[in-house]
Amino acid sequence: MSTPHFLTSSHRYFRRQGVSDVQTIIDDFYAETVTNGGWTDRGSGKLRSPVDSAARWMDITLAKAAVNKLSMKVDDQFGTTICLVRAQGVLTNAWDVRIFTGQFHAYIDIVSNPASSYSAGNAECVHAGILDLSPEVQTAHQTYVYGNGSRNTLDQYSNYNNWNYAYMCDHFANVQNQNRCGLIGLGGNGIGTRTLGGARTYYPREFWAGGRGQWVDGANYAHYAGRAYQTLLVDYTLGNGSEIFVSIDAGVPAKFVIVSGIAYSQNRMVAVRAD
Amino acid sequence: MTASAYLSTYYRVDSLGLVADVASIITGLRAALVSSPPAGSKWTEPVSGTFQSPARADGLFLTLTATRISATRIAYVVKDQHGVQVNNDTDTRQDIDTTTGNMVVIMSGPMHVVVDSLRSAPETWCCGIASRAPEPDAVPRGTYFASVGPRNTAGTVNGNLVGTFWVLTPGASAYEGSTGLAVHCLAGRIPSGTGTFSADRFTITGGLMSWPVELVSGEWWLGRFPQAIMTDYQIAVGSWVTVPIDGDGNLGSFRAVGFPSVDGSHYIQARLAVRCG
Repeated sequence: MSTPHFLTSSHRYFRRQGVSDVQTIIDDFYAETVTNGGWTDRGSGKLRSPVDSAARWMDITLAKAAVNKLSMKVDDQFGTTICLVRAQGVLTNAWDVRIFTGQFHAYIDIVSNPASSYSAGNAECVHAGILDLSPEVQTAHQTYVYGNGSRNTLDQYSNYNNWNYAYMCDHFANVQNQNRCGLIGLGGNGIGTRTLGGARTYYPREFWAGGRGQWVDGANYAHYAGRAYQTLLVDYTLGNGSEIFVSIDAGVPAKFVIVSGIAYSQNRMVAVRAD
Repeated sequence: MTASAYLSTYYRVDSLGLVADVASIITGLRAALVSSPPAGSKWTEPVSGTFQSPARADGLFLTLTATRISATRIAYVVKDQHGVQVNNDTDTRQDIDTTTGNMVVIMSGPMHVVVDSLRSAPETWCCGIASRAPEPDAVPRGTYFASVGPRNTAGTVNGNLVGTFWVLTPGASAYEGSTGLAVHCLAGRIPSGTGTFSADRFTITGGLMSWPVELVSGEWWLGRFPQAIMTDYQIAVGSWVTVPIDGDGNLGSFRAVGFPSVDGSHYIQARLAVRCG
C-alpha cells in the first residue's frame, strides 16, 4: 500500500487568531506561499504556484477590498480568470484565520464566530487549487484549475459555496460555478459516513468539468477532471475547525483540519491537510 | 500496492449457454460453487439445492437455497450464519424465457454469487458477504447482502435495479430491502447536475471510471461487494471492462451484468460489473 497520489503534494498550515484586518491575511498568505512555499511573486499581487513537471500552475491574486473583505482572483495557466470571489469577517469580531497552502492548493478560512459554521459572516472561505489527474498522466488535459468563495464581488453571500460547487472551465473557455464534485451516496439514503466498527470514512473531493474540448460526447456532459490535492470529504457531524487524524497509508497518520467556511452538503464537509 | 481485499478472493465465471429449464441453473450452481473451485473456496451442499459458502476462521457463512418453481422460474432464499433470512421476503425469483430459453451466466466465489439471466430485458440476481477491510469482516458482525430483484415471490418484477440490496442496518431486527434505486449502495459518486451539466463516469480524456460497490445503510458504511465494481451505465450488459486493480499495472476484467439503471436522474445511473478475469 502507498499513499494516494493526491495526498503526496507539499502542504503547509498556518493559523492566526485575533485577526481584524484582511491585510494581515494577505501578508500571512504571502509568507506561506512565496516566502516558505516555493510560489513566485509575479507583481501586482499576483502569486504563482510552483510550476510542476507537467508545466502546470495557477495564479492567485489577493486584494483588500475593505478592512474586513478579502478578494481572491484565480487565473489558470492560459490566463483565463477562473473566479473572482470574496470572503469577509465580522468587523466587530477578532477572527480565527486558517491558511492551508501547498504546491497545488490554497484555502483561506476566516472564522468570526466559532460557535457557528459556514453561514454568512460566521465562517467564510476562499479557495483554489490544481487537480490531481492520476492515474492518468498530469498532462492528460488542461482543465485542472478550480476555485470558489463565500461571496461574489458585490459581497453577496453565495448560495453555491457548498463543497460540491466550484468554478472551472467547461467546454473550452466557458467558466462557470457548477455542481461539479462527486456526491457520496445519492442513491436513496446512502451516506456511509462511519463503519460498523465506528470508524469514520473519508473520500477525495473529485471534480467533473466539460473540459476544453478534448473529449466531448456531443451531449455536453461533464467528465471526470481530477481530485483536489490534500483535501478530504469528512462526516459533517464533526466540529468545524476540528483537527482529525486520518491514516493515509498503512501506519501513516496525517492531520487534517475541517474548513469552517465551506458549506456542507450530502452530510460531508471539507477537511484540508494540516501537518 | 496490492489489490484491495474485496478484489483478492477467488472468482470464476461459468456460462451455462442456452438454458430452457431453470433446473440447469441449479446444476450450474452446483458445478460453479461445489465442484469446480479449488480447495478453500469450495462451497458445500448439505441439502440438495442448498449451498453453503466455505467455512472461514471468523465463522461467517451464508446458505443459498435455489428452488425450481417452474421450467422458467427459479426462487432463491439466502440466510446468514445465524439462519436469519437475508432476502427478507418469502423468496426472490428470477425468470428465463419460455420455449427457447436464454443465455445464463454464473459469476461466483467464496463470498459472492451472481446469476445473470440474459433475457431481452435481463434479469440478474446476486448475494454475498461483504468485505469490510480494513476492519475485520466479522466484527462486530458480518455484512450479508442479496439483491432485492429481479422478482418477488409473486413473480412480479420488483426492485430490479442496480445497487438495490437487502442489508441489516444497525439497530434493526431484520434485514431491510427497498425497491428504490441504489438505496443501500453508493451508486452515485458523480455530481448531481442535470441537463447540459449531467456527468458521467468517463474522464475528460475518455477513460472509463469504476468504483467499488459500497454497501451502506443511512450513515453506516457496511462493506464492499466482493469482486464487483460500479461503472458507467452506458456499458452494455455482457461487455467486459478492464481496469487496474492495484498500483503495479495488474488488470482485472469485469463483466457488466443485467441490473437495470433506469432512474431518470443521470447521476445515479450506473452499471454493476463482476470479476471474470
